[in-house]
Amino acid sequence: MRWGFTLILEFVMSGKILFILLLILFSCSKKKDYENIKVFGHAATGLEMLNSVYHDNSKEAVEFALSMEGCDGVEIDLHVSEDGEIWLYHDENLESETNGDGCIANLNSGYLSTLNYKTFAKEKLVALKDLNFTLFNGKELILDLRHHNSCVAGIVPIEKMISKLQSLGLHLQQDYKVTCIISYQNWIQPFLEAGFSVYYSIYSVAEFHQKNLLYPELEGYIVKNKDFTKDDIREIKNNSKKVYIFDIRSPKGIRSALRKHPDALITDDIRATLIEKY
Amino acid sequence: MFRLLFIFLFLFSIHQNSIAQDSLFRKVDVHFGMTRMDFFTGVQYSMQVHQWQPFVMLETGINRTFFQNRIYPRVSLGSAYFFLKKGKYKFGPQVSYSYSVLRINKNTSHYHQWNEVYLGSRIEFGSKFRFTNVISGGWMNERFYNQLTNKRSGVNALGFYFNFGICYVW
Repeated sequence: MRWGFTLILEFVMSGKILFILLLILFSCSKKKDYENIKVFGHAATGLEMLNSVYHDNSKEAVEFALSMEGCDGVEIDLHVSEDGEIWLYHDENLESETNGDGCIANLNSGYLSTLNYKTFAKEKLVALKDLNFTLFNGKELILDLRHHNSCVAGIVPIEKMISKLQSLGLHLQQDYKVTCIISYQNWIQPFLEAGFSVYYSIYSVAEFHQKNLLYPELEGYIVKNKDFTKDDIREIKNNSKKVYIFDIRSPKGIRSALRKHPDALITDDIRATLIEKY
Repeated sequence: MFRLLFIFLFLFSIHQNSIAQDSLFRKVDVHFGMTRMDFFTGVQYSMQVHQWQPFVMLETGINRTFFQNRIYPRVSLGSAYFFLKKGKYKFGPQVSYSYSVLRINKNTSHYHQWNEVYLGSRIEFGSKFRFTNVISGGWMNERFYNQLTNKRSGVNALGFYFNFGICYVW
């Protein structure tokens, strides 16, 4: 015991620990060629992140994400209600995160406007029209359009979604960029025809080639970090399409995504991503 | 901040000299903890005077410092009050104030700062070497430079802190 303690003491006194610590801290020089990669908050400030001060997709979270230096915009999840209003919400059913129940597609705005998240801050469920759009000036607003109504196992009416987005003027927006993420193939053409910038969610390079032939007007693709290599990303970009990577949470995941050089990261941890980028 | 720390340590040393030596224990602990923002590791120096145990604690964020090469220091001041002593067990409430700072975007000269005021409990088990555990929660405020308003702003939230550690008493 005494011998072990003496050894530890000698090790500490010899300055080896300090040397190792300094080596860990300053040995890895960060690459500085990530300037062109944009950083967007996933569901505003990240999904189920402990360090997120506000609930995902809340008005407070959107404003908080946009206020962080280096954040280029936010991605938000949208559902359309029975009366044609668009609401920010991630899950399929309301009971998982709010004090309401059912699916947004089957409910009307009168009920939805009374709901709040099951958090300490009790952020209200917010309609898209209630966001302060002037905060997006010079930034990008990414709309993840949810097509599935799990309560009736069907697809929500596309015309409601398109007409509401158009009534908000989002297809003509000049002060900030509006991008629509679509993961249901039948929705691609109508949204392109309605004048929106559309990104499609894909899971392989083969799927990219297939969709690229069918829909050459697509502006870009949304991919999961774990499904695509650096070469895959380069291949998509070589076809003059943009690539946004999502599903990134840990510093290791963020670093791996940055090294693939996509056009943007849709991150769950904005702080950690900004640290890695800068 | 450093002025506050100096005053605390100064008052600490005066108090130490003015009390009977047989009721005073000094403690150093090494611990591993967690807040909403990061995992933390660090050391705590404290003195137990009767039931009171004021402390000063220095920590660093593990993810930010060791995995992202960005130093994330955290300084805490506070006190525990051991109202329950049974054999080798000691238990009591603890109140603490913590300040931490992190530079997130190196393209700017701005820092994110966190102020936390927590109330919780502290448990110690052992005699010379003790196992320690702190569980606490309370108010957390994050201050940062807001790029929308071009001035500093802050957000308040519910925060928590817990840690496990080993302390040496002499």
